Amino acid sequence: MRSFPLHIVSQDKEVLSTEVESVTIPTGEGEITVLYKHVPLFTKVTTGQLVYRTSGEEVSVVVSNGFANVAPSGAVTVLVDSGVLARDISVEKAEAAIQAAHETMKKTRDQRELLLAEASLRQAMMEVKVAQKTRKTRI
Amino acid sequence: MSSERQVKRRINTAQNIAKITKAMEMVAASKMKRAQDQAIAARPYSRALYDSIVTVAQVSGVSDHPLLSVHTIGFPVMCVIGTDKGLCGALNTNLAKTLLTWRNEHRDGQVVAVGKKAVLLARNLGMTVHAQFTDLPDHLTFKDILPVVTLILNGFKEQHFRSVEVLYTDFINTLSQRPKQAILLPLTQALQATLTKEKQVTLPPKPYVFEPGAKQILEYLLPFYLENTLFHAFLEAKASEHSARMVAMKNASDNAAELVDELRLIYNKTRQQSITSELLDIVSATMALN
Repeated sequence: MRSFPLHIVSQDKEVLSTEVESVTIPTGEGEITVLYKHVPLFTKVTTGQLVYRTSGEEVSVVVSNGFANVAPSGAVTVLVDSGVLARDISVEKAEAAIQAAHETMKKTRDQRELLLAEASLRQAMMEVKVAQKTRKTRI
Repeated sequence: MSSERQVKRRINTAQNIAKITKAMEMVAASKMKRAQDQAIAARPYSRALYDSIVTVAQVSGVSDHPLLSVHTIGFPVMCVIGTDKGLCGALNTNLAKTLLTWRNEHRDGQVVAVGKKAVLLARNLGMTVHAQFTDLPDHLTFKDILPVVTLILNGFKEQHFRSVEVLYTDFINTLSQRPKQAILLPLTQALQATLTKEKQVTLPPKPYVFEPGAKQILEYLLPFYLENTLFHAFLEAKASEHSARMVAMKNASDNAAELVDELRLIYNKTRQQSITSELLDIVSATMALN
């Protein structure tokens, strides 16, 4: 299979920059899989599990809200608030984030803070889920 | 001798000052590292976001989005990102120079000041402070700048503001920072320059697909772009602040050490002088006795 470049950039760092054969992105309209020479596309990304495949290997990345841009050249850029590679997920950290989010949601009345807390909650829960899944398949 | 003791006291003072500035330098250095990393790490995202918005605006055509509209009601606003604390060299003074030029061009302009020094600066220039935000934490998160973004967005949408610009210190490297002025709103002005420049170069050969739709994407992307631009400005300003402070404190420590050296020389000279004169006294006294 022909490969194309994939860049995942989060708010605080460049998470990933590699050549892949296909990538599945969670979007607002459902999951889409991008292969080589995909039509130029710009779409919203929602919190979920992004999967890319390269030479038989499958890697998961937990991403939160953002955008994906499939350029006419075929390069895919995914811009997200935060992105964590499945192998870098720390379950303890994610669980602490869930706790913190719950607490802020209880305390705050500010609409935007509530939204932020909700987003981080969704992200952390997704991380835990993906971590459990990948751990199972490894055993 | 009194002058000897005076010099000794001045040496002690200089040494104490050197200790304090050294400590402040080290504090600033550790904060600087973190702030620089944060600012540099955020750069790829800002660049990628900028590329995306150029693509979308190009392909979908500039629509009648409220943030893109140009209106003549209201007053121009300058968002000045200064520091909360002083002792950071010429950082705030440089901002003041740029702000002064801006004031002379926009007589009815108002200031949204971030940081205590920025508030003082605007007051000293006799400008109206529309809003002020002080005591931001050293490690900035998106949450910290939300009030600023909300104020700017609402002010512009409700047509209180005619235009919004931001003035901050751009971080180049540890030794050099430069005040930078950028147009935030209306976005047409900010985007227009780049759009016309790049239009001939890359018109996509194939039609772009937008999901859910170009308009929705743009509606979501524009405020987001604004937030990110402002957040990035804050990060750069923080990195500059700590770098400038570290350099200023390093200079202060060096100067204090130099002063101590000079004073020590004077001290030793006067001490030697007094010993010599005492010896002379003793010798002349014994000679007189014999």
